[in-house]
Parts: sequence; C-alpha cells; structure tokens
Amino acid sequence: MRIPLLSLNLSCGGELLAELLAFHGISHIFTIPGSQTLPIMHGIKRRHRITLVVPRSETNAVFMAEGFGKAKGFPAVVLSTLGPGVANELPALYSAKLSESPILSISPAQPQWKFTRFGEIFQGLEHEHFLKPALKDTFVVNNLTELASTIKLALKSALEQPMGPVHIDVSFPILFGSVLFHSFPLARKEEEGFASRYLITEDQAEGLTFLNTNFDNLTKLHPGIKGAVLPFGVGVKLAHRNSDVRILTSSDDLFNHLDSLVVALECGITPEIYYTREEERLNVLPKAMNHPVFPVEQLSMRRNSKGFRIILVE
Amino acid sequence: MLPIFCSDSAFKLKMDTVFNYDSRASVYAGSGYSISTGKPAIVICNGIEGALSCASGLLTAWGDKCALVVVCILKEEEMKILKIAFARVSRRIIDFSIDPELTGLTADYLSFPAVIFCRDARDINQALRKLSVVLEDKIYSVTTPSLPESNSIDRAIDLINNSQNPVILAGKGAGPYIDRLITLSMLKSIPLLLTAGATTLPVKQIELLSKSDGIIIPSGNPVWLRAFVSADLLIVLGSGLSEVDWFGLKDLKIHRGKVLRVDSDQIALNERISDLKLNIDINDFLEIFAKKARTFNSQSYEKLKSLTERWKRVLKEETEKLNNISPIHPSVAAMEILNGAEEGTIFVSEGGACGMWLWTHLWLKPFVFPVQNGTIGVSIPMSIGVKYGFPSRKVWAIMGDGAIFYHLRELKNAIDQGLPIGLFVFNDRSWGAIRIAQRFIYRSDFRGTDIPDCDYAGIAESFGCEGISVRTRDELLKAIDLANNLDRTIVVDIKIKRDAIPIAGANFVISEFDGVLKRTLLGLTLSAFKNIAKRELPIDVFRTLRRTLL
Repeated sequence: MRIPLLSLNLSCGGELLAELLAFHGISHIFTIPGSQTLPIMHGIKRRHRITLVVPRSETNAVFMAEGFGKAKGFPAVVLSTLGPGVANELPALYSAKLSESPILSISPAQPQWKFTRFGEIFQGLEHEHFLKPALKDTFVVNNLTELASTIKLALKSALEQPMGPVHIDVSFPILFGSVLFHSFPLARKEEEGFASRYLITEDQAEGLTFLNTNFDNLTKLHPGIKGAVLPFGVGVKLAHRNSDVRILTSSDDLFNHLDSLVVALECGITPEIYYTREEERLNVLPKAMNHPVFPVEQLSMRRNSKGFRIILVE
Repeated sequence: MLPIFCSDSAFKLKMDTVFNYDSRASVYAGSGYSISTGKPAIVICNGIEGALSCASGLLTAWGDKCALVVVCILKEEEMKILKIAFARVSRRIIDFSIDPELTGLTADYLSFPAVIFCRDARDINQALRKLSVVLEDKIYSVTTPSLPESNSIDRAIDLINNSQNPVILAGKGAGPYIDRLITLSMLKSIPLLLTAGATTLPVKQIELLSKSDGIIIPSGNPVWLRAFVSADLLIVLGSGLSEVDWFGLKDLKIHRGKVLRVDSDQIALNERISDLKLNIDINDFLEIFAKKARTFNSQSYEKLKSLTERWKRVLKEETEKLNNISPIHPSVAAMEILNGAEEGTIFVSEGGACGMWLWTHLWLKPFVFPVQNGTIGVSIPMSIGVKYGFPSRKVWAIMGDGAIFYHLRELKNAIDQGLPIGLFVFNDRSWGAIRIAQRFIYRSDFRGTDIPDCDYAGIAESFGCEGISVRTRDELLKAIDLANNLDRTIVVDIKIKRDAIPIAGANFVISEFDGVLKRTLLGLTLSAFKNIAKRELPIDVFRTLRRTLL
C-alpha cells in the first residue's frame, strides 16, 4: 500500500523525513538541537508518537541510543547538527559498533556544491569518511526522491545481524526544500525484545562479579566502551520503562555524566543512588542535585520493580 | 618546553603535562593554549577510544589552524582504521615507525593540526624529543615563496592606487606582521579590518592592536560591516576568506568591490574570490606597499573613526537602558563582564547566543573562540589551556547553560592542577541561538529548545569551586568583583533574560543557513509580522543599529 504524499499535508523535506521515521516505527529521537535539524524537529507531529529526548551532548545522545537499541532490538534515531555535532558522535558510535547495537544516526550535511571549499566553510566536515571507522554502514541523500528508499535500506542494514550503527547524511537544503508529488510504501515495524530486569555494567566480567553476591535473573548489558554505563542505562530505561534497571558505576563516572541524571529526570525517570562506602555518601552527588541516596544494604529492602538504580562500586 | 595535554594518567612523562578527563578535552585545552600564545602544543592519547575522542575534538582545531600535534599510541590495525577519520581533521599524518625524523612536518601553520601515530610508549618519548627540536621557536614561519613577477606587483599597486576607498582585511596569517600593518594603515589612512579569525589572534598581537590609535575594527559589529560593504577594494592579507567573513556565500554577496589577495600560501589563494592574487611573503608585500602605495583621503578615514566612537557610545547607552531588568539582560551581562574584568584578562567563549553577545561588546580584547566551527562545550577545557599559557593572568570563560555539561568535569582539573579560571554561565534555560532561528523561521514555535533550570553554582561548589548565583545587575557586579579578587576557580550562574537577540553574530547565522535563505524567506516574513503584531521584536537592536548607522 502506498500513501500519496499530498494527502499528508507536508511542506518540506524535514517533515517528510519525520513522517518516514514514524512510519518505520521509530519511537525515540535523541537530539541536540541545531539550526539545520529544525525542519525535522518541527516536522514531528503528535500523531507520530515520537519522543524527543534532548541530552546535553551528542556523545551521550549516542550512548543513550546505544542502550536503547541494545535493549529494544530496534534502533532509536540520533539527530545531530552538522560539523562538530556529528564529530562528537564518533567515540560513542564506535561503542555501539562494538556492542552491536542498532542506531540510526541522521544528520544534515553540507550540499555538494560546498565540497570544494571545505576548509573555508562554516562547520565543514565530510561526515561519511570521518565516521567510517565507527559505523556499520553509511548513506548519503542528495535528492528528495532518494529519501524513502535510503531510510528503508539504512534500517535494514542496522538490523541485519550483527546489528550496528548506520549513518545517513541528508544534504540540508533538501530538509528545507518543498515537497511536491511523492509517495512511499509502509514498512512493517520490527519485533521488540523485552526483559523485566536489567543489569548494566562496564563489561561482562564486572557484572558477573556483582551477580555472585547480590543479583540473579537479570539481563546483563554493557556498552561497547568503558565510561558510558550511565547514559547507556538511561537509554535502556527509556526502551523499557516498566523494567527494573540497575547500573553499576563509579562515583567518578557519575560525576562525568551528571547530565544523564538531569536528562533522566526530564524524561520522568527518578534515579536512586546507592553507595557502598561512607566516603561516597559524603561526596556522591553535587548538593545541588537532590536525588535520593541510600546505602547499598537497602537495595534488596527497597521495593521498586520499575526502578532506575545506580549502584556505586569502585 | 612544549606543553603536553593528556587524558591518560598512566603516562609518567618528565615534561610538564596537563591532565584532562577526556582526550577531546585535551585537544580543546591544547587549542586554547595554541590560539592564545601562538605557540604549538602536544596532545597525547592512548588506544583507539582515546584516539576517537581526540579526532572528534580535532575538527575545531583544524578549522582554526591551531598549532597542535596529536600523538596517538595505536596498534597497526587501529591505525589503518582511524587514518581515514584523522585525514578529514588534520593536515599531516605521520607514522613514526616509517618517518622517525618527522620530515613530513614543517614548522609552519600549514601543517597543523598534525597527527603522529606511534606503536608504544618508547616511540612516544622519541617522538616528543624530535618534536621539541622541529617545532621549538619555529612556528608560524611560513615557507617564503620567491618574489612574483614585477608585472603582477605593479598591477597590484595600480589596483590600490586607483581605488578610492580601500580597506585592509587582515587574516590570521597576517598576525606576525601586525605591528607593521598598524603603522602602514595609519600612514596611508587605510582602515584595518580584522577577519573573524584575526579577532582571535594571539594575546600579544591583540594587545598591540588595542594600544594603537589607528582605525582597527574587529569583526562582528555594524561598523566593520559598514566599512566592508562600502570599500571599493579589499586588500586581503593572510586570510582564507571563509563564510564567516561573508565570502563564498551562495545566497548573499554583500561585497561588490574588487579583491586583492596577498598570501604566501599558494593553496590558500582561491581563484574564485579574487580579482588579483599575489603569492608573496606578506612582509615583502608590506615593504613594497609602504614605498609605492599612495596615501588616501583622511576625511573618510576620520569618518570611520567617528562611526566607531558612535557605535561604542550608542551600544553602551542602549545597554544601560536595560540595567534594571531581572533576570539580567544578556547585553548588560556581557558588557559588565568585559568592562569589569581586570586589565589583561583573557576571555574564552564558544558558539551559541552567549558567544554572539560577547562579539557584540568585544573590542580588541584578548579572545579565544572556535571561529570556523562555532563549536559548543569548549570553553572550560580551552580556558585551562589558556591559563597554562598565561598563569599570571585572569582567564574568564563565558558559556551558555546548553553546553556546560560537555566538559563540566574539567572544573575539577582546573582546581587539582592549580589553573584557576572564572566561568560565567549565561543561564537562560534554553538553547538560545536555536530559538532565534525558531522565532524567525518557525513563528516562535520553541519546541525542543527549553532546558530546565539547574543550580550550576551548587554543582560547582561540589567540585570544590566557588559558586555564586546572580539575578540582578548589582549582584553580577559583586560577583565580578569577587572573581577579580579570588585566586580560585569561580562559577557565576547568571540568570539571563530569555530570547534577547544579539546584534553581532549575523555572519555565523548566515553561514549556517547559506543555501536555504531564499527558501526560508516566507517563514521569515510571516514570523516578522507575527512578532510585530505581538510586539516581540527586539526594538533595542533596531534602535542601536539606527542610531549608529543612520
């Protein structure tokens, strides 16, 4: 079945892109707002049921999408502005590649006619080549007619085993450009994976050590690289809000990712923080952030089957 | 000694090393050092994860031609994977095992940033020793081309002498010759305009400019634009002529006169943006210029001087009208911070609305800014690098609340390593620069650009800094006074009025939207009507411009 575009009352390429993402079952977009991404952000309508999550850095946006994709078995979209916005994604996309998490990274790109002057254009960067080490696949859209087929191909690539992150560059004048006659096919939404309890750690070994002492029947997940468990865990929780998510991290990493706590709160997730040592209780959180803090002994006593719990271990 | 910025604390190096929590922060810190001092810095990263972080920060350094050398320890297969990424954000890539003499690295700004791949820690030490020999005292000495034919030089001088209203547009490449430029500009009564990149020249060069009595106009303000537009000849020295200097735009061409480009870098001379180009050492050109160029009409020179004075006066008067607003108007905040800082303070800022406010009020003060990319989140690590280069000076960073979490952790570094900085957070609870676009293109639909308030002063105190929250001008003045007298890192959380429109920064905005300006015209027109109907247009901006230019 094909939907004629005219009936959807779209006006620009950004709106078409939002429509396509909704049709393919995208439920979450992690984005740091940028001028050239506005057509997509403004193209998202209430009927699309897409949640816009705004972290505080592109790197953490991708880590969150990594956790989301890993837990959900279906990608979220990361939407970054061009140049330095895309550059910030690089280390986290590599993490997603290692952990085989599906991610659809989309960014506006400089149009072809600017390519010869990259050293002299504002925010000039060849995304395709720059991100290549960290991606499973990469696509470029220079024409509106390519958009629908490219999204479909990109999703297919992200979800084929082994899963991984893919990137789509969309020449940004297309996003602002008018949409005339076009149509695109509906796609079937992929099946979701679901677990009720997750343990997020730096790596498998760490999780096992802790499992021996306290936990069982937890689905273990970890990001591809170290130092990303907190934003990764936020992504897992966003993928399955009704699950109990427990994150093993250090107070150092907590301080490195304070923004993840802020974003969790903005998304309606209340983190509980458990410390294992007295020194941590005193230094564990900036006093400005009023999160509940408990000794780890209370972990099993506090009933919270839908919790988001951060356990500090060194 | 070349300073080293590194995020791997396992490295026990004999030379002075500044530690950062993240390789990207190390790149920004090194960039801050390099931009402010004009000297090279080294960044070391270990392993593929460190290298990827480094690469993501290197784009900013690449755009601004920072004299950075990144030394990566990687395995053979990792080098092959990463080479393609680094090739996009560096000008030289050297495999140390193949080129241990670093012959691929020349000691001029055209080589930077450079990346050196090493296989182990022993290679690193040898590479560092080699770098100190290659780079020390030689940076920015560009390879001198031979003199062009006299015919070309004569044509250039004719072009200058036949013009009525020329200006000199000095780019970063003209920095080493700035004192000579100042003298000649005054002698010949030709105004000296700085490109956006040159407005962030090394501290010593900016201070030379600020002490001069000549007409020297930094980029970003209406006086610069007026001089630029009305010039019938631009004598461009050492600049790549980028979009942020209003060149190469597809949708807009505001300079209608002729362009004479002078550069020792053959590659930088772009055919399409010049009527005549001279591949010559800038110093040699200035020699010829001094002898053969005529002196111009001092009347128009003096007119520009009075316009400059009028701009400064009007901006101050219009900003003072906003003094009693609470939360604080960003124009008031920017003006008070710049004027209230002690002599010699170096300012650091970044992309976003707060950066545009700083550009509005800045006039020839030492300033570090990621010009070619407008990157956000760089201020804290860049300030640390600047402080390392100028330990006896105050270093103040001004950033927005949208970007503060990028490298907030580096505040702890600033304390631990005895590099105290001042951080002024323009807290307007929003992504201010994006909201400007939403106001004018999307009829004030501000979706996705709200940021909930956060107690940044409280967070700063948890890191061990002094933290203070201010809401009025009087409170801000007290905080500035405290920052001047304190020798510790201080974070001032300034509650800022939302949705004010900066006067400077149009060059960055136009550069972002070049290619779609015509398409957004309908949205712009409808938004303007809506804003007029709701009385939400920034009247203070129009009044300031009208009083200055008309």
